Amino acid sequence: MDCRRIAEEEIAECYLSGRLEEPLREEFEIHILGCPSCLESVETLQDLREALKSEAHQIRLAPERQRVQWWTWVLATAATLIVAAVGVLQWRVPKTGEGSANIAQQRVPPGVATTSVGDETGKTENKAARVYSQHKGQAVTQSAPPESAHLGSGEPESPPSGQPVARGLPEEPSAMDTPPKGMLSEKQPEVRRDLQKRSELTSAQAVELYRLAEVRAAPYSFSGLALGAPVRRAGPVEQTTTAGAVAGTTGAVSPAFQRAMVAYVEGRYDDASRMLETAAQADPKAPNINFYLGVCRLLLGRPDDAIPSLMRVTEDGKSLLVQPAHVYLAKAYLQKADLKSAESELEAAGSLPGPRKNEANSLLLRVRAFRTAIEGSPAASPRK
Amino acid sequence: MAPDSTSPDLLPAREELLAARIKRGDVLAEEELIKTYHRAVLLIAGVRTHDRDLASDLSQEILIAVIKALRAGQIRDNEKLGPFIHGTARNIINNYLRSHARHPESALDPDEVMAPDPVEELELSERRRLMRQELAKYSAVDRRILLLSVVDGCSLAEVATRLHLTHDAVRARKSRLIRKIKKKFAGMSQP
Repeated sequence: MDCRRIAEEEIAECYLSGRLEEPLREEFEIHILGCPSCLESVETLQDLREALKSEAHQIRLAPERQRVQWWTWVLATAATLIVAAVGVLQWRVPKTGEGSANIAQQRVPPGVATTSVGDETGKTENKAARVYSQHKGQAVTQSAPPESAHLGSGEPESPPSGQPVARGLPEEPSAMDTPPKGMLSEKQPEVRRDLQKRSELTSAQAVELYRLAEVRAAPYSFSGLALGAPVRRAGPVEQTTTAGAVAGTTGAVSPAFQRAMVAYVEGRYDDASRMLETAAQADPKAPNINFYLGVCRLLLGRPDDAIPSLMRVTEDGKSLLVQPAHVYLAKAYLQKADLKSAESELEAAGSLPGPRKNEANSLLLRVRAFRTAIEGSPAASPRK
Repeated sequence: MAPDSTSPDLLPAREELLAARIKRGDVLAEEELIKTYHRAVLLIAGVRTHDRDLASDLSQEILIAVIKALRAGQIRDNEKLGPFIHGTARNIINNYLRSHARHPESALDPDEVMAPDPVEELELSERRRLMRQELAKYSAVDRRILLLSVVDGCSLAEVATRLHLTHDAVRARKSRLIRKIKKKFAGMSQP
């Protein structure tokens, strides 16, 4: 037996595993007694054998990655291509579907004001302004959807649909919270005409007007503390009408109003609006009915319908809802791009005592600054 | 694998000289014999008994028996030392396996015999640790090839079938792995 034969016939492995016949085994053992090289090979194989034995369990359980690797790569590549293709398709679909309100909303997100489409059109018109011209007012007659129709939370993200709005919270109606993800409406051709002339707005200006005009729902509480202000009761009968009462009302509320407000807090502004209209027929001058009817119409993207209702509240003069009504009137005018009327309403709200004073003044500053930017007129400081 | 320069076929005179020195009572010759043949005897005993501790005991017994025989001049003229040691080892191991009893006692003074160095034992454990580290670097398929062929004793064809590889691929990979391991660990087991 020589070393070459041992290597070629893998005699060392057979020896270690006990597969050698006795004569061959003896011959091999005699060889390794005199051959340090083969002895070392056998010792190394024995060490390898012991190491393999100690790792045998893990080795047997280890997946045969080498074999499935090819298919894994193919599948991964195919999946990546599919995802990329779907992504490209989804990205291109909104481009071809201009006119959709939701798409327009996506195109004027807050903070994306500098995106210009001048390269595409060869004009100075920017994307946001073009959206304005396409929707002609609906960009600013944006109505807060049920999902976002919550007020006073200060959160940019709206609660889910159907969740009662600020029920039981003593919050003041706020119309200048951070913009919710509202929808645009195509229902107001006259508003479009008003804003048609503003199609030359820069994208920054368009977004600013968009934000100024955004409306969030005023809170309502069935406990009657929605406005967070004490209610002056005229008599013992009114003092007992806490449930369903609203601050600023003159007494008990009608069942129709209560049903309407159930729909309102659930975000069903369309239903609430219809029921409030019914309630308004019975009590045309009720501030609470007119106030929430106006808010509902604003949220539904109907500023022209909202203005008369809100004006009835302001004409009352005694209700605590007068100041919020001025703010919402300003929002209605902003949605119509009537900046001067909006400023007047905000000045009125700022002149009244109440929790909305600072909010009205702040919004007035922004409106004036905006008007200055687009008209070049100097901005006046709001009244303190 | 080329024949080593220390192969008995190439240096029969060295073996004869070693036997003669032991016969004359040269202690250094006995130490040299133990150094030369201890590892191989230990390996043979380990393979035959499948018990490393027992193999260690038996290897000492075998080498003592060889030294005693050489002292007594029991080796025939022209008889090579390798086959003589192997015959002694086979007989002792077979006797043990037949009787299932150990025979650690020896009339020979332990001080006269150079026992295996404990450092060797440490080196062995270190070598096996390094072997496990080396194995960890290989792919799962490579480790399975080695496991099936070296431990389980499967033929190349069986390994190829079980791993869904070709016979040539298994042969090439196994050959490469064994060659790589031998090269890496060459000299590490030298005393």
